[in-house]
Amino acid sequence: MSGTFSSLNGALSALRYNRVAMDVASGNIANAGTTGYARRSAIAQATGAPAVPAIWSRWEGAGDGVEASSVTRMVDPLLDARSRAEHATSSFLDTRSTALSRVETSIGEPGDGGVAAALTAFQSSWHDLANNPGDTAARTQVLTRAQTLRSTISTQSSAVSNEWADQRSRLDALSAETNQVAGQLADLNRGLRSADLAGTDAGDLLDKRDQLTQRLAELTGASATINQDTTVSVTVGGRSLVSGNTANAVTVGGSSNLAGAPGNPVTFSVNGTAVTLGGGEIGGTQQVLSSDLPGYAAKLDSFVATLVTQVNTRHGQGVDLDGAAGGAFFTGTSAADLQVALTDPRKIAAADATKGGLDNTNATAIGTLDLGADQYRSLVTGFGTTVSSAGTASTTQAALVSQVDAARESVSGVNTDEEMVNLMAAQRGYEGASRVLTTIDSMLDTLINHTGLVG
Amino acid sequence: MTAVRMTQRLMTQHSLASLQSGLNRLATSQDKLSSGKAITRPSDDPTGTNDAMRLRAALATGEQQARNIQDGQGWLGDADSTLTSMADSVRRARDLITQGSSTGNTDAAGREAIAQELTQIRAGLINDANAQHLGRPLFGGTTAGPVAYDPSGKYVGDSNSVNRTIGDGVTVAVNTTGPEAFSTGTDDLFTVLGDAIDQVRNSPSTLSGTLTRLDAVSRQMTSALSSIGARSNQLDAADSTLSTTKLNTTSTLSSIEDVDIAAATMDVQMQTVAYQASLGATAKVIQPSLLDFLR
Repeated sequence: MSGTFSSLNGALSALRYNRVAMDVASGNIANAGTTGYARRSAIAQATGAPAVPAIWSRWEGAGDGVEASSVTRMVDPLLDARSRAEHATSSFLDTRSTALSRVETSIGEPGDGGVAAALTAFQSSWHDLANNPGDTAARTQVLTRAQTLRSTISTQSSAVSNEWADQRSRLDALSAETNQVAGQLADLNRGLRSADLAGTDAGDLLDKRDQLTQRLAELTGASATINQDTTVSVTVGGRSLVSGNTANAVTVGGSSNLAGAPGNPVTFSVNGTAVTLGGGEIGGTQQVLSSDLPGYAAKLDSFVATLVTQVNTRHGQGVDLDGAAGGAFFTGTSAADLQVALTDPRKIAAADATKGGLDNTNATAIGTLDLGADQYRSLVTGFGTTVSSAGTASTTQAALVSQVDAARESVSGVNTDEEMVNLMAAQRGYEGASRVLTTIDSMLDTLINHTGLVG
Repeated sequence: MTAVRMTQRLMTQHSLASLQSGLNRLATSQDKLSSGKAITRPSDDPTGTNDAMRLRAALATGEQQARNIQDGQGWLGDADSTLTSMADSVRRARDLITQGSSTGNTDAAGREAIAQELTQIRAGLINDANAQHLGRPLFGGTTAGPVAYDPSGKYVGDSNSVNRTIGDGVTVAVNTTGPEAFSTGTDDLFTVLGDAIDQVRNSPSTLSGTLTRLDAVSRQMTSALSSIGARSNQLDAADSTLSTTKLNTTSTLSSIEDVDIAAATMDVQMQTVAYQASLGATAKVIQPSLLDFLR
């Protein structure tokens, strides 16, 4: 049997609940544009009969009002995990594709300024020399074209090593950011644990947690586990990065330039153990540093080695204008140290050793030699294919990411129309509860002030 | 299709993303149209890049071979005109020798005059045989010296050929050495003429044998001339093949590397329209909200 004034409590609870609902709606509207904000929803629960029916003292109420049982963050942990994975892959592919296309731009093929054009011009100059073996101008032209060829090769080689150095310093920056984010996340874990123990609403902390975890996934392709106590554990490459309120450090070591990389490879370590990552910006950078750029440089070097060997061998078989055997035309074995050894045009060995200085046999031979043009062409084409497939993969992944993001937004995003409707519903609810209060009041007024007064 | 819960931000993001990709596509087609190149970097079309690089190299090789041919034609032309004028002189010498061999109607003074003229013709022929092409003796092989024959008529050149590459793996000798044109040893043009001068003066009766030798040398010069003509024809043929190949290669290269202007223009138009449409749609879609209708 309920007390006389208990109905007032019911109305009061409705007023309270509707205020909470209005607060939640207004909070949602306020955060409609906040990154990482997951919309909240006030969950109403009717208060009334106890959950466990008693035998002797029975509940005889008829609806005791309402309470806001909880304010829920509208998130889907599965979608969150999916989003982390897709974002990790996407940043891996983006990083690689961007770095590779930068190198590709500096190759300058196909065109008139690239190595292929310089190589053809170099061979042509040998033919011109063959047409006029005694002419100093033709001889000087051979040397000039050789210098041009050397400088185009060297430009390309330094573009590759500059990109490598850029990516190397980027790896340092990324690892510093990883450490910072991991530290923040460890701190946050501590807060989350206290909030969980205290049973307070930690919605904002959870938003922050998801954001930081997402960023770690983008950086390192990390995988995350949400624990019972709402904290998150993060592992990178199978090694623990964040666990509870401890964050392990990631470090980068090894050579800081491409030339030193073979003897002192670049390493990325989590808590002291070197790992190779398959995702995230760091994974992409690792791939570019350890495989893509060194691979290109090695092939370029091999082309240069062919060029040097072919020209020098044939040049050595001939004799120069004064009848002396030809010396080394080029020196060096790689793109970085290639130099034109000859400086005196008279020393170019255009002639056959048996036919005197004005013969052109050797010049013609060098002009028609295979100086590695095919090798270079297949290098460029191969690289083009790599860049193109990296670009395609990156685009495809971007579509996937936007789909997952849309699905996530669809669950967690704020729809202002919806919030307006919620707000109005709460407003009407509030007005209704007020009316109930007035009605009870007037009822009590009748009971107290007008009952028993006769006459 | 299940109804997806939409939010304002989702729509904004979608609109922005599609505007961005539309603008991107527009920029790409505009870039292609304004640069006129379908391939500006290898990844645009790796296979096309391979072909383009190969064709560019072939084109450059062809141009070089055309230059080689022109240079060779210079050598052959010079040798041709020199040999032709020398053949005239040799015919005049033959007439004089024939005249000198007729002992009956020419006295010693007349023969001396013939000998004098023959000496001059011989000197002139030696001079012709020392003709130069771009500072090098035409008939001297690859000799470093300035002449092919010394003043006494002795060959001082070598027997090396001057080769020009006119096609892949095809070389043609563009010179004719002195021995090839004027024979060697006792049958050498200048030796024969020297003998004739001597015989006109001293033993006209033996001139008939010398005349036979001169005819042999003359035939050798004619065959050298026809060989020059044949080689010149070979160069011409190679040149015309090269021009045709160059035309074909250039057009193939253009079809690979260059943009089809009409198609590219249409593409830019289409992308512009698409972009404008998505701009319009975005402007319409983002505006309305329930707030507009609440009072």
